[in-house]
Amino acid sequence: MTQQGEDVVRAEQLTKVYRAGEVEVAAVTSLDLTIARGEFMAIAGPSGSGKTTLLNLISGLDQPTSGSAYLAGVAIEDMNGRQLADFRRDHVGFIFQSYNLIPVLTVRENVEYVMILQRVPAAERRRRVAEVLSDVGLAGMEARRPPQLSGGQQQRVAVARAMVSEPDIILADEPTANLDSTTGAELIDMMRDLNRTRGMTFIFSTHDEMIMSRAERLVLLKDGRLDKDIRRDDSTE
Amino acid sequence: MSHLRILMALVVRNLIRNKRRTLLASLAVGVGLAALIFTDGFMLSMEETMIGAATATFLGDGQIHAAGFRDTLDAEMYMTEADALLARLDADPDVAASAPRTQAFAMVSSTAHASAALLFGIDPTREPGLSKVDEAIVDGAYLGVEPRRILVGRIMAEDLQVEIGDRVVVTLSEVGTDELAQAMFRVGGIFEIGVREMDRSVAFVPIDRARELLAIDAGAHEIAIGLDASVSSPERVWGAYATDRLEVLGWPDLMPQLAAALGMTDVSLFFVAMVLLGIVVLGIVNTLFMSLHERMFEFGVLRAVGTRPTRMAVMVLMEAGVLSLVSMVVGGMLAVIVCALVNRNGIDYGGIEYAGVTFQEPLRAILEFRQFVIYPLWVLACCLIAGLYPAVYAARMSPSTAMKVYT
Repeated sequence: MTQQGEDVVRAEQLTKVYRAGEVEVAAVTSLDLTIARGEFMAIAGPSGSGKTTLLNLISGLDQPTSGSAYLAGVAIEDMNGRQLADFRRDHVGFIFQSYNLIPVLTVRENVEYVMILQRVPAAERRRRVAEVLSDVGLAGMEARRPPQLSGGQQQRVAVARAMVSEPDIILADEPTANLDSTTGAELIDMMRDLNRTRGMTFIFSTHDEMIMSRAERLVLLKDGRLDKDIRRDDSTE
Repeated sequence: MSHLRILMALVVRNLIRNKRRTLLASLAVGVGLAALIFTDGFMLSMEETMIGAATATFLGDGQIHAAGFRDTLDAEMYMTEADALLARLDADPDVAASAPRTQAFAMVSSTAHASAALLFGIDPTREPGLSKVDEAIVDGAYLGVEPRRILVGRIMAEDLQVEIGDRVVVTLSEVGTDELAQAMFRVGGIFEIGVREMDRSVAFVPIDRARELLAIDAGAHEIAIGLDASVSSPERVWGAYATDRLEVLGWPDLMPQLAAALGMTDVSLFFVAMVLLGIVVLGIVNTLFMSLHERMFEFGVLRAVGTRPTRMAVMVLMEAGVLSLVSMVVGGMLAVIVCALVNRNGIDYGGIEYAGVTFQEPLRAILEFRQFVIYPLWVLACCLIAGLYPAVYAARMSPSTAMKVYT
């Protein structure tokens, strides 16, 4: 486990090429990037610039064509399917664009699912679910199912699910895309608070100006390559 | 909640989520199972009816002959110890009935025509306990104390143009001397067993008179045996009477064409089962893939948050298993309902002759406990086998592919 300020993500000459029939498309090309623990950063760029592919590569959802991605010091490309599943379970939290909760599970079951995979004892699971749902403002909604919640509430459940196992990084792919601006702003502010109070690393893939304006660091991609890397504190590129 | 429990919750709730598809899939598999159980029950009924008709009509469950007699039907090969054998059979608790018979080729002549016949001498008192010759009389009466009565088949009676009370002359070859022996009989009864060969070319006379004509004293060519219903191993009984000079044959050896026909029904049932189970497999594969593609993103999310590939496969197999359990209940109930409806009147095959046996009664499906155990287990096994392909597909699915998150 990395300490505050240490590199939690390191990408070296990361390249991902997709085949579409006879055509090869380079989604990410020779990308170098490091992300320190505790960062609240956004990866932005036009559609097709490689944002989501980059998130997939550094989270172990996908394997690079060449280059290396390290998460918490572990090389992702060396792992098989089972090891990757265990690695994501223990080190990565995901928040997706369209919430992507499991509709047949209750809020409690959705949130505790990862902890069940981790074999966390039931009493500990109950405590952590109550705590995290309180943090995201959903206390008392444990027994509801996702279709019974608003879009903003569902995305809060997704945030709770992502953070409950205290992963090294939380990857959020366009988390506000399906929310109205007010709800989106509330959600981002809530995640910013969690970042500050719990020191969790948040990495967003986004088009949303509101997220970009709140991020400490903004990485801009263009045609799968790093275009700009802007840090708010020192405004360096 | 353990991981298996939450997987089971996912499986059950997903099946409930799409009630119509689950119901249709269960019905499809259930109908296949019900058809399988019904076909088995119907085949069983057909087998029992055919065996019953064959053994109870005239054959008996088995017969004792002089060794080699069945190969040649040579009247010279008769059993001299028939009375002693009958005494042993009467004392045997496994034997419900037995009857001695003589058997010889003869010529039966009327004033109009002559007909070749297989002439049986039967014991008028013992024979009704074993065969249904007495019940097959359609005109006249069964044999009684009068020794000069003959029973002829309906077709033979038509060929000879004889009626009850008409005289016929039986000519046969005397055993030992090969001299021709002739005797006059009056037609006492006309029978219709329903098997064309018997109705055309078999005649029955009292065994004492037949013995006189054949000159075999108290001998007999065969002793037909009816077993007690409790006997589960006929071979054990046959073994008790077989010697170097006597052979004891059960009905499968006496009617090999029937045994072969019944073997064919087993083969038919096997092919029916294969077709029905094939439909079950395709139905399950289709349902699971529909469900899988409908929930592709959910599968992707489950994989993304750390569900191992093997657990994804287990979940799909559990879904196949639960679907098959529902189908078993549906299929079992359907089978009982269909069989009850069919059995109210039966399916009438009356008069149809097959493999030397004529169906006399409507066929009904016979339900047995094993049908509700073995066939559902087959269905479960098929469902799990059918689930392997979608299970492997789910396990090997890339989470990013499943969620279509390419940029």
